[in-house]
Amino acid sequence: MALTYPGSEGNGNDYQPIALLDGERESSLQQLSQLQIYWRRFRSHRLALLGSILLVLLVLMAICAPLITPGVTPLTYSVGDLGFGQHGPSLDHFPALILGSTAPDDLQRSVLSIITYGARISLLIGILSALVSSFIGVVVGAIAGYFGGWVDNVLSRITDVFLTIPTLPLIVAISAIYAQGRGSPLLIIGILSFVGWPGVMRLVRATFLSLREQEFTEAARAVGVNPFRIIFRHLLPNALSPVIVVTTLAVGGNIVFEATLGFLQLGVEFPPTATWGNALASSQNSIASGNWWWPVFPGLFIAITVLAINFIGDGLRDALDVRSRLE
Amino acid sequence: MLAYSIRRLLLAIPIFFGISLLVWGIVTTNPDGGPLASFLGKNQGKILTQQQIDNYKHALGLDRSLPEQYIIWVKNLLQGNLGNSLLTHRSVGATIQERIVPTLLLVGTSYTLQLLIAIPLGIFSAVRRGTAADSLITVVTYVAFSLPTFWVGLVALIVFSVQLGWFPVLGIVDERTIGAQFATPGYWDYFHAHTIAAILDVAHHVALPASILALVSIAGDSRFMRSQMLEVLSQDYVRTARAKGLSNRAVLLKHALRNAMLPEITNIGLAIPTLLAGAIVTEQIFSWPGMGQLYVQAAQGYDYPVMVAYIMLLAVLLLVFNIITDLAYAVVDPRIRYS
Repeated sequence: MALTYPGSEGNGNDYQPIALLDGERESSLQQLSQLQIYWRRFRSHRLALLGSILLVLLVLMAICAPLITPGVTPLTYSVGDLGFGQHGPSLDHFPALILGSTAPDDLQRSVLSIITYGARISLLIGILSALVSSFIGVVVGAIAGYFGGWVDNVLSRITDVFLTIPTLPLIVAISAIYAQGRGSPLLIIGILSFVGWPGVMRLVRATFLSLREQEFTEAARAVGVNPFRIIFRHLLPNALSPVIVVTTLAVGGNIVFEATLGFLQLGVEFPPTATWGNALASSQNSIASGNWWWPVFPGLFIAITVLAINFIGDGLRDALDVRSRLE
Repeated sequence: MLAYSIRRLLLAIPIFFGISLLVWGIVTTNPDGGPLASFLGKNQGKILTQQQIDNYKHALGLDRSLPEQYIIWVKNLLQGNLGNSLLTHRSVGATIQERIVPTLLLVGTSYTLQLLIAIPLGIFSAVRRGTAADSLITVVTYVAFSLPTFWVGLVALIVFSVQLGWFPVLGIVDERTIGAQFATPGYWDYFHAHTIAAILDVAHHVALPASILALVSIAGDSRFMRSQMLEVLSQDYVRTARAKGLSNRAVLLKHALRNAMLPEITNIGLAIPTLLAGAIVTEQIFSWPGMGQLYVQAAQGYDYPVMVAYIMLLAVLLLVFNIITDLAYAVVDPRIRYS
């Protein structure tokens, strides 16, 4: 029976099958490489383009952090009236001290510098943990799907175990034990990767189960190609499109997880490392003392980033034509 | 059907043990040299002598071998004995029972709200497919879906509670007027004396957190409902109903909606445990005295019996709801036969 999963867009009406999209009609397909076709489709998705531009700007902001707040880093603070004593968002001290305000630790810190420098760590955590967890998911899923039998059984049950434990409480538990609010970015990447792979594993396993029955696989096997070569050279490229989409969306999800850990004071330690997440620690105290901008601005950047990544993910889904395969 | 149910239950057993092993493993193999070391390091470790620590270890059974510890823990778990909290020394089971009421109140209100908004929204989108209203709904729900819960919650707290003062800033009841905490004997005295005021008070407190929790989840449900409805609307029986001259209303409500609602059952069943877990952040923002807050406090203070109990409870709920949903689906949709 065909069950549609919650949240999936299970309807055949919206979805345009392999037929050519606008703009592909006039030009003959032979002249376009596969990548060019993907790019044309992605380009026609306006929100995805907007998302890409936003993401490029965010990455530029992270790279150029020292230029945006010269001389001021998240670690720069003042207890007295050294120039950043203002208690609200202000352009008076541009560029160095814009948005100088009371930090969670009751010292005067520049919110802007925490946003720019924090972007480095938050984006890094989001991207790396998505890549690592997808890598684990691909390897485990490929092995389970290709070999089948008891190997598949064991690996699938392990995946079921991970999928049955609700993700957020699991991440909170592991961070409470290993990070205890004194975590390094690397540790948080490790935790998010450890928890994040089962979705990709399922996806890859399902694709491999059908791919391994096809003639080209059988041909490769008949010629005596090594199984791992078959998996990675012959089958994997055919299973990669949905993985790319899921990995892209996972970047946003992991940024939110990092921020949630920071908010619960179980994430990356500050000082020394500022992230968008740990800027949100003690948000309640900041709100109670009237410093509403303290949680609002880092949170706003998280929201923009996640929105941009979701747009890109949507565009990739259309461009790579994986909607049908994700179901 | 019976055979299928039994097989589902049997399949759940190894997964249950897998979950228990993973959760227990995470807790006991921690880098500080055991869960007690972590707890003491976080709390009163400095004032205890080695002798006291050893006694403590013995009382908690932590001086046994790891396999022994695991077997004892699982045995107790299966008998419903969740141990005692290290922080409060109270039974974890009793603490969770106390905390589950506020959480169910929050999650129940929010989920009702979510369904009441998402389902009509999805149907409307499907019926008016391709219009400006449909696109607007799609964009708005998509943006809401992308916003992180804690940020929406914090902004709502700042705007509606702190700045505008429309809603209380924290808690489930107004402790100052009542003079007692929620669910204490003093509170129940007040509740019996001023029932209507007490209910209104709780409603006032639950409104904002429940709306926030609902807002971020509306997108998924309304999109799902929209696509189900679109699929049903293209079916032959809907065309037949229209052909025999039924009013648009009758076609939509009697023929299309009832069929489109079927898959929603899967959604509802699976959403309940997920919602319980999702309430962690919302409870933290609004200082809601529920299970999520209990769990975060336990994690911050390394109160491991509470942490383990909470995760196991959610995992078991998920397992059970998975099975119930599957079976319920077969009951309401006679076309589905499990074999």
